[in-house]
Amino acid sequence: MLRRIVSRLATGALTLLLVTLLVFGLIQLAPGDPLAVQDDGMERLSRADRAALAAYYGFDRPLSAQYASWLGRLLKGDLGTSIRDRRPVLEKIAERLPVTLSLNALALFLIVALSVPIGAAAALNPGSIADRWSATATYLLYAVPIFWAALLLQRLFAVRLGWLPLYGSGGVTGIPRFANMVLPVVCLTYGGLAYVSRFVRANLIESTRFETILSARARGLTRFTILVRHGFRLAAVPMLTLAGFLIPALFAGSVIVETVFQLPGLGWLFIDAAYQRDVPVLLGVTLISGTAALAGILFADLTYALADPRVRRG
Amino acid sequence: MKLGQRLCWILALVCLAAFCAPAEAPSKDEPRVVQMHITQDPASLSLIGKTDLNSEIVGMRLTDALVQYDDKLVIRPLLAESWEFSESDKTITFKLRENVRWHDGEPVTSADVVFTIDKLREPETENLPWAPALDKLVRLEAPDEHTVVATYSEIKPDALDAWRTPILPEHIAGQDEDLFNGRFVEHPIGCGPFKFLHYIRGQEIVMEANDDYWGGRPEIDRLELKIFADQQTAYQAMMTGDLHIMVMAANLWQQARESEQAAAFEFTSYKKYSVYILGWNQLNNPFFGDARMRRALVLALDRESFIANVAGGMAHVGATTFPPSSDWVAPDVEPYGYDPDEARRLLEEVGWVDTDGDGVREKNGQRLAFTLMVPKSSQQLTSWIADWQQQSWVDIGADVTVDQLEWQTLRERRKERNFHVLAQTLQFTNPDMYDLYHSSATDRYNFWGNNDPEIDRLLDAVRYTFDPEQRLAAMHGVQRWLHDHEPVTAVFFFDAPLIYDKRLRGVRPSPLGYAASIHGPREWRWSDEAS
Repeated sequence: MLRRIVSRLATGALTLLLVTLLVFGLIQLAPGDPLAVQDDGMERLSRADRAALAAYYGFDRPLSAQYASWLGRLLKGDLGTSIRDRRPVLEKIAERLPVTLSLNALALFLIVALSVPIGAAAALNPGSIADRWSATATYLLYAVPIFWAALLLQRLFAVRLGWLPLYGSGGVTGIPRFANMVLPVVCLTYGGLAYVSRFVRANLIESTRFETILSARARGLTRFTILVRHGFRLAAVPMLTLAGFLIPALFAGSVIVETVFQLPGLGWLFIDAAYQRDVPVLLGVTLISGTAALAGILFADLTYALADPRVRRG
Repeated sequence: MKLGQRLCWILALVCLAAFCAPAEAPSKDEPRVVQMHITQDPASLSLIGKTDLNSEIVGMRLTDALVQYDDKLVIRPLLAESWEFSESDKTITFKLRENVRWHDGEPVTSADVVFTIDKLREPETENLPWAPALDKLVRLEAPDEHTVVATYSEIKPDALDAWRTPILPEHIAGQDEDLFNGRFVEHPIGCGPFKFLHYIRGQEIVMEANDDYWGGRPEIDRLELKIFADQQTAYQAMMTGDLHIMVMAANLWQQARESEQAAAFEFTSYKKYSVYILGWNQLNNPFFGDARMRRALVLALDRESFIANVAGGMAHVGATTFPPSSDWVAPDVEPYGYDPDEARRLLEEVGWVDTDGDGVREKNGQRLAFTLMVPKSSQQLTSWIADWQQQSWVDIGADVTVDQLEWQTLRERRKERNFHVLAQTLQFTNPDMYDLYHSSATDRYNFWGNNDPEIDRLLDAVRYTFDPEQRLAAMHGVQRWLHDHEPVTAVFFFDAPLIYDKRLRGVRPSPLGYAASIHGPREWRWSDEAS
């Protein structure tokens, strides 16, 4: 087991490295640099000033050297300084992490909490009206673009009814107020329902084919009891892996949600940094979100192993 | 309980929890709070470091500059009570107002001014709005507590522009080793009409009225700058009363006007010194070296009808890049009208004739096929304008491709002069158009390859003449030349659609914005009875 953890961690670290290298490379391919973005195309910087600033930021050095020095600092726990406002990247990420984490944790919880009963209800009588309707409804939701849903929800609940705040974190730093998180979390949640509930349904149906289930049925247990007592236990393992894969998808969604609802989270920071060509911030956010995603996958992987001896030995 | 039932209960509970948000009603004796819109977090609250438009707007509230524009873009005194130019000594001598205090009670002195300007000019401060304009400043002295003498190697009447920089307190900002990560940037102390209270990134910057402001305490008690990157969200905030004033895209402004809440708002617009131009590349192509060609293509554009039918009336036709609403404009220089026949005649005169009958003109075997380069924009109007221009030119026998490019790509292509016609928006604060047209400004903003000794002479005269009448005459000369040669076409000057709460009074927009002049929040009033 220990060997497994170590090897997974090593692969994870390598993946992260490659991802940051990829982001670093991609942003270099994008036209313009932070100095040009700052100038907003007004050509106010003289050639000499430009050269001096490029030297100050190290843009004049070869790309490999720029990336290497970023790595070197990273090993010392330093994510560098943002080009946009010259604040430490770690500080910028730390002040925005709670927003993204709380949004995603809530969304993840809701997706699972809603999908499991939906999937179970569908699995109870495959092909029934409930099954078909839940499939149609969740797939319809899946097809609704987040920014559009966000706008509709804002119009209804914030503008027309005035029940919920329209935007922002509610005048606090760190974790937003609960009411401010409702609409964003709904937007992050609804798209995941289809996938997860179908997944739950498929696994439950699959698991009820096992012999234990057959014998349980032979003992005269109802389908419902069987599902709850045996089915879920068997289906829990594949569902754990799914949760691992949901984390990256949620992060991608929170980029949009945070921008539309004006929540100062990592997604918004990332978009801003991309516009500003703020390489240290981009790499920092990539590293943090990448770590979270990989940690999710690793967690799923290891619990899978814990739950299923065959995987552990294999 | 059946599973389905249970599911319903869970859903119902979630919904209930979701909608239990408290609704707050404002009471009568609350402080007079005004919430205004800014589009982005300011680059920094250092006010002079990496200054962008939003930090400028924040800075103007928190601290004063020596001078500032009024709503006509005339320079007015602020911290400087008066100033004197000496053409022979190449100096400006500022007399500072006495008894002005920082928000912490310390007096504002000439040492603060010297400190600020020195700091501003350090390359690492990366100040773009003002530092480049101070490059000819050679010496800055403070002979006494309330006098500042600036000596230049070359002095021009527009030198005061750069003195709109906010002034920082030396006794606080001077203590910080790093302008971007110190005590000052965390909690800026200024001498302006509003005092800094707090800043939540991505959300708001909150200030309160400065009771001891030298120009009198502002009438509003609290000013909240609300950050909305998304226009739609800002629009919704306006509709729910979370915002009191903002500039909107024309279509949203129209939508607000037709909404149920319209009665609560004042709808107006102001003339910006912001122009949508077409820049004709005179080099590297067989098309636009001849001024008649450039004129022909302008004559093919029915601008008045486009403004009326598409732009919702929110624009004006320009004769040159000099704003038609400014005092600089030459009365005898009229914009080109819509005359497609004259356009066709001019094209033929230059030698562009459709010989093979395919609808596209040729000359010496070269087809009249060129590309219009425009920046990608989320605003629909940008593509409408491009389509309209394309169609208008196709109608007189050109083959036009529209190339929509991301702004940074466009910028690089522009710099390499790798374009035929370039469309973009320009903004300015003074009549010095040297960088746009002077033959020596090819590494600045003269992307069009404009090169003519006559316009160089006129531009020099505008830049260096102090006598107002002679200077105005030179400006008029520039405009006549521009009109005859049309190196750049001022297609439209846009109006900014402004919307604000009816209870807000004293709004006086300038061509730079509703909060970018000496007026703005410090003159705003709040009245509970709608007018």
